[in-house]
Amino acid sequence: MSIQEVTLPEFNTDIDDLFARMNPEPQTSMEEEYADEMSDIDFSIFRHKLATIATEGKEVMAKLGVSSALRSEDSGTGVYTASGDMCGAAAGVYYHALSGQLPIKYTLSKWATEESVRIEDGDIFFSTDPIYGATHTPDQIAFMPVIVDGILVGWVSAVAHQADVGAMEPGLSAVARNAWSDGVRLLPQKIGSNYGLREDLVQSIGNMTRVPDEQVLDIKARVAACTRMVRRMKKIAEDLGTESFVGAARRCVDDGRVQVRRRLQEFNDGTYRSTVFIDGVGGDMGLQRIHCAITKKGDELHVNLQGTSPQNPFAFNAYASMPVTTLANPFFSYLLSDVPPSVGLLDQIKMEIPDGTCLSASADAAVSCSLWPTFLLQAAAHCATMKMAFDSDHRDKLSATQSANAVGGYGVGVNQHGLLAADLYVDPVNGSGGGARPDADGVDVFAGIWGNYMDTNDAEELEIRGPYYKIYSRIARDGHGFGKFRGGSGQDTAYVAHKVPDALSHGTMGFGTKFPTAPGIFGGYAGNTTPGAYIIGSDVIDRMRSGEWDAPNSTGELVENRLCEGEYNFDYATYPAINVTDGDVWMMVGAGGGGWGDALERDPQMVVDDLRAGVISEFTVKEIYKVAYDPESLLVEADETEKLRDEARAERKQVGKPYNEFIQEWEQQSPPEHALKYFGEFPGTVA
Amino acid sequence: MADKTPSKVQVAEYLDINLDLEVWECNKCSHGLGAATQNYKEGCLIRDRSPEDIHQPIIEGEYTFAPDPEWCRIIECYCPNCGVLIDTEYLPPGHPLTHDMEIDIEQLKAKHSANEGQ
Ligand SMILES: [Zn+2]
Repeated sequence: MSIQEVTLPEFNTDIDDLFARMNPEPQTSMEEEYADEMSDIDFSIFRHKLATIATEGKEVMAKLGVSSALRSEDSGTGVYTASGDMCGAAAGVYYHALSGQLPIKYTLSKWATEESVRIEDGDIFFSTDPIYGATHTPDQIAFMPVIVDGILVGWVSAVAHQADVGAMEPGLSAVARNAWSDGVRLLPQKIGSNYGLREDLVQSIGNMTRVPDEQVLDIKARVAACTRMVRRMKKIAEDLGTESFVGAARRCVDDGRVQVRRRLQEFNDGTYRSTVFIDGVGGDMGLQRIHCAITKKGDELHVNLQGTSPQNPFAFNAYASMPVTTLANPFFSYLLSDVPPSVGLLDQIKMEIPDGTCLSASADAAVSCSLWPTFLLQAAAHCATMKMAFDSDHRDKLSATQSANAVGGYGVGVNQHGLLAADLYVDPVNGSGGGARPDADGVDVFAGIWGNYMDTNDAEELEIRGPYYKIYSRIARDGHGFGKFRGGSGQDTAYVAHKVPDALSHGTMGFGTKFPTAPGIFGGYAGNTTPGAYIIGSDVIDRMRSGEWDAPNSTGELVENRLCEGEYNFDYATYPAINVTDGDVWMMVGAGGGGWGDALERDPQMVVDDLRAGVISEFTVKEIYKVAYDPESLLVEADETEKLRDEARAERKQVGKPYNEFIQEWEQQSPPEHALKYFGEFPGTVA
Repeated sequence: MADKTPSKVQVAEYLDINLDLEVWECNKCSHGLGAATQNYKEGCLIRDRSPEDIHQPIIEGEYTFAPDPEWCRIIECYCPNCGVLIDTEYLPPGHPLTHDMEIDIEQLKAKHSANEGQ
């Protein structure tokens, strides 16, 4: 069979520094020639079509896939220029689409001219190795070229998180110690051609995981999304002409650059810093620092991560391609939420990451939990950029940090239907609380910090899929940062195992047990901390059968009052896999977003309304908000409240110390030695 | 007629920068908080609080549902005059306070005098 020649873009095939290629490629001559071919109106219609195509692809993937994370839209679809620069996306999670750039650029560099591979119309590529772009091993990407009249005019991708990827533990392996134990790592490679998959290859990938059927079906869901997008893109390119299409796709990127420059000019020049702490590294507890100094000058943003803790010996590390994609959420979903997403929006950001940190890990590091340190970076970057943008016309786009906790659980085993199944319990993660806003509370049960547009699982669907059901699902009480406006609370939920044929392997991964992860802003407090918690051998099912089970209002109420029999266990948010069987219960408390402003400035009526709704406790009303109220009627006693608040302000002035006096005493203290095992030098220096 | 140049710019919920004097001021009570080129926290009253003051423990033991006071402290910065809570930081004991806002005063002044000219 003869190989049809495909016209490729001019492309620098030297990709030794692949991570640096997150930024847009130089304009090709065709892109330059046809950059202004379209009128502004036609261009805006074109760009809208790309967004619609990406959205359609994302929906196709969600409808056809199996993995709970994929179905709850921990996913993203992207459309790219011929050189692999993201020119449109749909989220889910924007950084899934952004990270798709690297496997495309790798493919252009390595395989386009390799006789045994090449790039042709209808080819299907797939990649799972974070070295080549996926954010961590479970974020698998399918991607396809868009070729019209023999010219490569663009690419599409579909990315989603896979529940099990054959790592040393089910789900993600927090305790993996190197790159050879954290799951399947496939180079960007061709797994199909002429719009058809190579079934032998796809089955082989499934064979590397604990749940082959799910893996195979979810590859097909991603590919179905891509083929749909390719079909739509080709139609547009055929209608417009390939040159016009190429020019306009590139214009999406360059217009993004113009928009971000204009926006950055509106903010005050200066350096804005934020420091946050993660309290574990996967296989062990210990503090790690994520420090972010953002210097804004004119239309440029320089992000310096000096002071970030060293690479750790477990899987809470990220490769250096991740930190810049991490900025997608604060930028795409907040500061530039009114601008269509493209990689152009990140082009003004210069990242400086010292070697050897947990955010610039070596190639042999385990990174299956790479997202955890990057969530913290996102929290820090969010805080710093919001402070940068406060004095501007964009205050309506600001918020305190949304919850950066991500206590996700997994269950892998034979389900009640006799099928192998893997599930990620995403509710407490995707249902984390939003950050408080300048003029309103954060949204309860909002989204994970990495993607504002995800959803929690449908409870009934989960119960059909796995041998367990939910025994309560609430908005977490006191589960947010207090403030003038409070953060949103996360979801507080629990599952009981039921009709487990054999044993179900269950564990969690996360952080934020000893140290909260969502700082407040401008005097607001941080969101809550959450441990891992489970009950072995509970009698919940018996109690339900006999009508003696009243679902508690919170996990706190369940464990405080021991509302069922059984062996109660509390652990760090990442606890290793345990085998659970009928009656065992695991509780998952989602974390909340940071608060905005001084809690003593909160409208007392809003405080009492939260009490009535069960979102805060009496302790919080009295000790944090200093609101007096009638316990029967829950009516605010305004005069008494004002008196209590005046007293609280007076107390602050009495116990607060002048800075120098405070620092002299403060500097004498340090955390316990075991907390500093993975910290690096304490306190060390930061940018 | 009053000077059209805004002598104060609100740069955070509770912080103004007085462009004439080049100092931080409390947005609630106009109390001065030190040179605008320095960290405003140096002009605040500071308090080290146990996180359990704010985040209530639910159970006893190592994992209480609240932050661990040996790992995490809450640093509160108050206006010395009106007592408003300007900033909170969650830090390990002894960890330096963050210089979170270091605004380029010259650019800020230039921006506001340019606005005045319009
Ligand atoms: Zn004041």
